[in-house]
This record gives sequence, C-alpha cells and structure tokens, in this order.
Amino acid sequence: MDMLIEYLPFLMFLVLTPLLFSGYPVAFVLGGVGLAFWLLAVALGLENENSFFLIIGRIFGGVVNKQVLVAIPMFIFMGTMLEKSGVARSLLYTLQLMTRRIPGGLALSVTLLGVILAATTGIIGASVVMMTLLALPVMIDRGYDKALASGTIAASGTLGILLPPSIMLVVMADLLSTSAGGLFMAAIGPSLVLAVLYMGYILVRTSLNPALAPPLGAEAAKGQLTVGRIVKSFVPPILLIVAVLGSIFGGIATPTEASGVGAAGALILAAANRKLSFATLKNVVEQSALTSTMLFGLFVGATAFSFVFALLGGHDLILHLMETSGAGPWLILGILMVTVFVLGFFFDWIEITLIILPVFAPVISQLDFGDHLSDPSHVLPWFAVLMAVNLQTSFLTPPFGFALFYMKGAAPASVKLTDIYRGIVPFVLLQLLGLIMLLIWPEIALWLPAFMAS
Amino acid sequence: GTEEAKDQSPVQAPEKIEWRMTSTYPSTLIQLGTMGKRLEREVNAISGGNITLKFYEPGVIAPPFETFDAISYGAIEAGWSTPGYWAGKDSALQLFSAVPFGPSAPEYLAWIDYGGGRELFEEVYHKHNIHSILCGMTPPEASGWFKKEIKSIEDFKGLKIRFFGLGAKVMEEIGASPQLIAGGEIYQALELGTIDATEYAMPAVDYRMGFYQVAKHYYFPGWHQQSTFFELMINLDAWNSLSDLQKSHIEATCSSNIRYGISEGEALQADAMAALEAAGVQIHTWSPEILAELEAAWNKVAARMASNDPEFARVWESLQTFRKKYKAWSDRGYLKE
Amino acid sequence: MERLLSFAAKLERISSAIGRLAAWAIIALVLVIMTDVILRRWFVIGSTKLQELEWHLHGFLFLLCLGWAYTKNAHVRIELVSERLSARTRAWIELVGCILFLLPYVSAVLWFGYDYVSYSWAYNEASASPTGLPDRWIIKSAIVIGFAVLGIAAISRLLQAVVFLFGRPEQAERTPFSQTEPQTGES
Ligand code: NA
Ligand code: NA
Repeated sequence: MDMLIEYLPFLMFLVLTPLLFSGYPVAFVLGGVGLAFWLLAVALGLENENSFFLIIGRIFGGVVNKQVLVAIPMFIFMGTMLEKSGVARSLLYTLQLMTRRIPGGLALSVTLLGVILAATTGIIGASVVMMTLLALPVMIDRGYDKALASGTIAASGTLGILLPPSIMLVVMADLLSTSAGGLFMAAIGPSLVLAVLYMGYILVRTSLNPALAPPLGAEAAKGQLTVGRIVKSFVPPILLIVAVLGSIFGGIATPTEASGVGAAGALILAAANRKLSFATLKNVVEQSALTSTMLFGLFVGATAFSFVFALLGGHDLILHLMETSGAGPWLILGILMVTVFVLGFFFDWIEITLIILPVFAPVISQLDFGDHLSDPSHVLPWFAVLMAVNLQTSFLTPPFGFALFYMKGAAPASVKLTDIYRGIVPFVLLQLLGLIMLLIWPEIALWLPAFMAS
Repeated sequence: GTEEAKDQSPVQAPEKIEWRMTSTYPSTLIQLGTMGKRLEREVNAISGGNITLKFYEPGVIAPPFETFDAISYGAIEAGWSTPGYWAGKDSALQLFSAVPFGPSAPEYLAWIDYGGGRELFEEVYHKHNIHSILCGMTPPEASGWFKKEIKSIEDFKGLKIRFFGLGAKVMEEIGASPQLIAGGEIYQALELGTIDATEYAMPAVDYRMGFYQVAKHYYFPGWHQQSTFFELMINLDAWNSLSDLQKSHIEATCSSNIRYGISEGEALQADAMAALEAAGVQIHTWSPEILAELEAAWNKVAARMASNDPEFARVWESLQTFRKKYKAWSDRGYLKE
Repeated sequence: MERLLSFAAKLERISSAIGRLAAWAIIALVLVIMTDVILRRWFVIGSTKLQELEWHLHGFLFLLCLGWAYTKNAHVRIELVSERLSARTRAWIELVGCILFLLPYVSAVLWFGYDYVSYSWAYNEASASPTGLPDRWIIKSAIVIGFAVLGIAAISRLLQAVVFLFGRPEQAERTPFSQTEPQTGES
C-alpha cells in the first residue's frame, strides 16, 4: 500500500496514456484524470478536501492573468486574417514560382519564414498555429508529403521558443538568477545551427526523393514571375513584418503588444485588398476564437493534471529517482539531459524547468568540466542552453507534444495526427543531433556572448 | 517514527507538523527566495524535526498571486511572501511591507513590536482567516535604472517607468507614466526604449539581472522602499491547532530570519555596487530637492488613500503617530554623517 | 427522445451564442493594444489600466468560448485509434467521456469557483497594483460562467449521444454522431 502511494504520480501517467488515445478531447481527459486522482488521494487520506480549490487559482493566475499570453490570440488572428484575405496565399504562390527549380524549395521558404517569426515572438503556440494556417494548406495543395510538410512547420515554428526573444529563456534566467540578456545571446548560435540542420535535411531528403515535394503542376507553373507579381505579393507581408519588428525594435511596443500591432496590420491589409467584408471579419473572428480556445483549453486541462501530480509528490519522486551522488560531472549532466528529454514526452517546458532547475542549478554550477570549457563560469549558461534545446525538443516529441496539438488544431481535416507524428520523427532526431553538437562544441552557444563582452 | 519512541522527555511531544509552504519567489533569488529556504531549514532544525514547512517553488502548486486565497481557504497551510503583494485584497497590508519615505529596519521593527503595528497586522489578516508572521527583512532597495540622467522633478514628466506598488502612485502624481511590464520583458523593453526606466530591487539582485547592460544611470536612495518585510502566512485554523511550543519554534525562527536578512542584505550590496561601477554604471544620488518633491507627492497620495479606505487610514495613522514620537529620539540619538 | 433532441439543440444554441458573442473580444483586444501603444508612444498617458484590460479580454475570450468550441469540435483529440472505430463506439466514448471526465471537472471548478468569486466580491478585490483596475470579481466570474457554459455544451453533447445510441434511426441521423467523418472546427 505504501508502495502504491509513493508511486501514485507514476500511476497517473499509466492511466492517462491509454485514455489520451480514446479520442476524447485531450484537455478534458487531462482535467478528468487529475480530478480523479485527487479524489482518490482524498479518499486515501493523503490530501485535504480543500486543496482542489487551487485549481481555480491556477486557471486564473496561471492562464488568465498572464500578460504575455495575450500574444497568442493576436498572432492567431493575424494568421487567420492573412489566410482569409488571400495575402498569405499570394505570397506563398509567388514563393513557389521563385523556388520552382530548387528541390523542396517551398519547404525551405517555410523554414526561413519560421526563423523570421521566431525572432518576433517568444511563444511557441502562436508561431506554430500561424505557420500551420498560412503554409500547410498550400504545401498540401502542391502535393507535398503530409509528414514532411507538417514536420517542417512544427519544427521551425517551435524555434520561436529558443531564438530570442523567448519567454522560456526569461523564466530560466529567473530561476537560475542570471541575466536574460546573456542567455538570449547564448541561444542565438544553437538556434541558427538547428535551422541549418532542418534545411540541410529538407534539401537532402527532397533531392533523393523528389516525389515528397513535387514541382508545381503544369497549370500553376504557367504563372509568370513578373516584377509586378513579386511586388504585389511581397510588399504587404513585408510591410506587416516591418510593422511588427519595427514596433519592437523601435521601442514602440513590447513583443507582446507587437502581436496586437500585427493583428491590426493584418486587418488593414485585408481592407486595402478589398477583402474585408463583414462576413469575412466574422468568419476570421470566430475561427481565431475557436483556435485560441483550443490552445487555452489545453492549458486549463493540463494545469489540473500537473497540479495533482505535484500534490502527490511527483516532483520529489523524479528527483529521488535521478539522485546521482558520487557520479562524475559528465554522468550527472548526461542523466539530467536524458531525464529532461523523457519528461518532455509528457510535460511542457514550464513544468520541467520548475522541477529540475531550482534543485540542480547549484549542483551544476559546481561541476568541473576541465578544459572542455574555457572558463568555469561558463558552466551555467552552457547548461541553460542545453536545457533550452532539450525543452524545445519536448514540444515536438509525441505523444504529448504541445506543438503537435497546436498544429492538429489549426490544420486542414485531411491532416491526421498520425501524419504529424510520422513527420516529426526525423526532426526530433535532428534536435538530438543539435544537442550532441552543443555538448561537444560548447562554443556554439558561448562564442557570441564572449564576443559581445570583448 | 523511531525518533519519537526514543524521546525520553516527560512532556508528550506535540503532533508532528508537515505543511506545504508555497513561495512567491524562486528559491534561487537572492534574499527574497533564499530567506524562505532558510526558514524551511531552520524551523525544522530548531523544532528537532517536529515542524516541516516544505518549500514549493512559485507556480508548482500555487501561482504567486494566488497564495493568499489558497491559504485563506485552507487549500494549503503556509506561504512565503511579502504583505505588499496583497494590496488588492486589503489595501492596508501594503503598509506592513514597505512604505515610501518610510522607516528603515530598526524603526520599522520598533513600530511592529512596541508601536501597535503587530496588533493591527494580525487584526487585518485574521479577518481573512490568515495568521501571518513577519519573518524576514531586507535593506533599502535602489531607486532604479534610468536611460537618461534625471536633473529635476520636471524630467519625470512623461517618463515611462516600470514601477510596482505604492511608488507607482507617486510616479503618477508627478506626471510620469508607470507601466506594467511582464517580469521577463523588462530587460528588452528597457534596452529598446519601450520604457525609459525601471525600478527593480537591491544592487546584488539588479546586478544579476543585467540591467546595467542597457541602462547606465543607477539612482539612490530607494525612497520607495527603505526596508522591506517578508512574511510567513499560515491558515488561521492551522495556526490555532498548534501547541504553544510549536508556535514558539516558528516565532523564534522568524525572529532569527529577520536578523539574518538584515545582516546578509547589508553585507551583500557593496561588492555588487563595485562590480556595477567597474562595468561603467554611473551611480547617482537624488538631490534633496527632488527627494522633497517626491515626498510631497507621496504625502498627497497617502492622504488620498487614507480618505478612501478606513482600514488603510487606521494603519497609516498608527505608523505616523509612532514615527512622530520616535523622531525626538532618532534626531538626537544617532550620529549625523 | 424527441424532447431530448430538441432540449439538446436548445442547450447547444445557448452555449454557441455566448461563444460567438465572446469571440468579438478579439477585436476589442486589437483596439485596446493599439490604443495603449499609441497613447504611450505619442501622448504619454499612464496605461496600467489598459494593460490590465488586455489580459481581461484574453480571459473573457477563451473562457466564454470553451463550450462553443466543444460542440464545434475544436478541442484537440488524438484520433489515432478512434478514427478506426465505428460511429457507435465513438458515441459511447463521447458519452462516457462526458460523464467521467468533463462533467466532473466542470462540477469541481464550479464548486470551488463559487467560493473563489464570492471571496473576491465580499472583499471588493482590486488589482494588486495600486494603479490597476478595480473589481476583480468580474474577470474571476468569467471562469465560473465559462465553465457553466462548457457544462451546458457537455450536457447537450451527452444527450445527443444518448439519442444516437438509443433512439430511432431517423432521430439518430439528426445528431452529429451520424456523420461518418468527425466534424472539424471549420465553419
Ligand atoms: Na523567439
Ligand atoms: Na513532448
């Protein structure tokens, strides 16, 4: 019995996993399982009967009263508006014409778009949903392999959480009591390395098997690549990106507020395109509201599950299982990295950082990696960036990868979750490759901060 | 357990207490968090393992600003926080945390212990079914980081400054524009000029946040926060269920935590200031004229708040009365620099 | 069965109408952000209240749409297994899911949420920032109202599943479960 109580948090996963596959909404399964285990704990006398009261506080304080989350509905609105007003379609069509001779050209352009968006927002949900709305239908129309298309979008959309500005790095800096600015700098190198890895993979894969990324159909390819077309399709979105980035870098708006600037810009573009009827507006408003609600519904359900997991002592159990007394620095680092990766299958980054960082930050900063790092004080930033890449990966790992859910919620019905799971596997492997590179060559992260300091 | 069996004392050992204590600060945050971790450690040691206050990082079970409701309702037993966080619940609580142009540590403690402060504090909290114990203290904060030098009170007009708490009211009063910027976005907002200035914490904390990389003018003294109290909040029913011995263990630990907070806080800042100066930060002191203007603005704000809220008025009155009397001593008792 | 069906339709209309209306908060949000940005940059007016209004609107938006999103089938499902199941089995899953997961969760949130909002109301809670918005009970009530609407939507779906499983074929046909492909969020 004591054994059962001690392992109750793990039992939660055992029960959750098959139920997730029932096809009932993930958000409600999470909420229901959380509540059921809480009731069980109350029945066993482990929990007082008031503690579930906190679930309201977690919904209010953790999801509603969060200034930065305002960016999510705004970027979703912007993406939906660009899609419905034809701005996105026109841009991507021109891009296809321009890249028709490069294998996988469209996928490469989408990856680039992902990097640009990553530099504007620190919230992963927003950029994955926006890219799914903008690019996935076009890629599918064009006959791209669904798995390749969705993997490309999920991975490059998730880059937003690693490439500054990034909420995740800010939270990590806070927990590690170090400067967010320094971590921002250290994350730039690894983000670019990952982007290059994605592009290299797409290029190789589509060269070997052109059927994955077929060229434009005969009819569509007839379109002339005139200067007029390029200007007409490029100017509006570039104006929009300039407005969003410009308002951030011009010191007019915070990144959160810039999402609102983007939404307003998309409205103005649609009006200028004469596509802004009341019916379109209503359609966009309703569609964006449903997509936002899908995302926040997940938050609202997941918060119940992770709350009860913490109440039942799940965090202590994880830490207990990874106690590494007597192990060398590399072994400790290795065990930590593997644990974070495995936790990533089930938890989102905020939960993992809260479990791991406060306990292990003091341990890690004392570790001695000899000549591997040029300065012992570099251990903490290096470790933080390793964690960050690992956590970014956790968004992409099935079954419980938030990026994959966001994508499914915004994708056309013809794209199955199976396609998404299948498509993400190679990208998860690329993430692991990036992580190993960063372990071998810490300079990938540490070079830029050192250069800026000198 | 076996330890209880070995206990030979004739007095029956009180029932063991194992409570959750949710924190509004991460355990790694200098002073604000580390004092909470010290409390967890020390109360366990001093009570011979009889009392456990298990420290939970903010957000793990309760988001920081939900701590109050959760303890009041009895969802969790204890919390580590500062009374100033609960201005929205009861406006008077702000006066037990830090007061603009308010007392420094010895005077503040004197008011709490001998000036009627504690009675008012407990009265306000008991209304919300919470028993709170002042359980930590920090020295003055810095006044903040400014991108441009401030030469007169006029320079505050139109200044976009990130400010939290009662000081924000003062900023409004003198024509500045206090902003609510999410903690994580302050650095970037300051860097890019979305805001012109930010108030944050004391030098040792500010140094780690890296603000010196994006703003070069660092102002003192922190008129808005000359000393700050931190607290151990406990659900009132849970508190009442304790034995007298357990209560004394908790109170003794909190007393020692306050002493420790002051000594550590006083010792930490000089090195950080030296490091900041070495990094090219210009350290300024507010002119007496500017301080006088700010204080006048604060007095207006305080009078207005007191006229709107009788509870706030009562506590404000008590503090003011004590301070007037105390002045006869402090003016003469201490060496002037 | 006929009465169940029309009652379910009525419930769905209520939750959808509330969601459709709340969706417009997104436009209000765009306007508030733009106002805040413009006022701060060019008119330097204190905007703590506007900044708080932003997350208030974000909260209203998703909380009041929870129920509508459920009947529109916009919440994410892992359909790897269920897409191979028969419509009857899927209806059973929906029925059991409502009874075991959704409705208990909604009930728990309503049960504790009532106390949470009452407290905020009784003490006239305001923003923790003295320059922020008063009347916290309004946005806090949105949690309770949003979950109540989600409960209404859940009951509607549950009744439709009952009709599909136990009603006459022509009645079953008028429920969403009769469609071979699962509905999507597309309108
Ligand atoms: Na980013
Ligand atoms: Na995952």
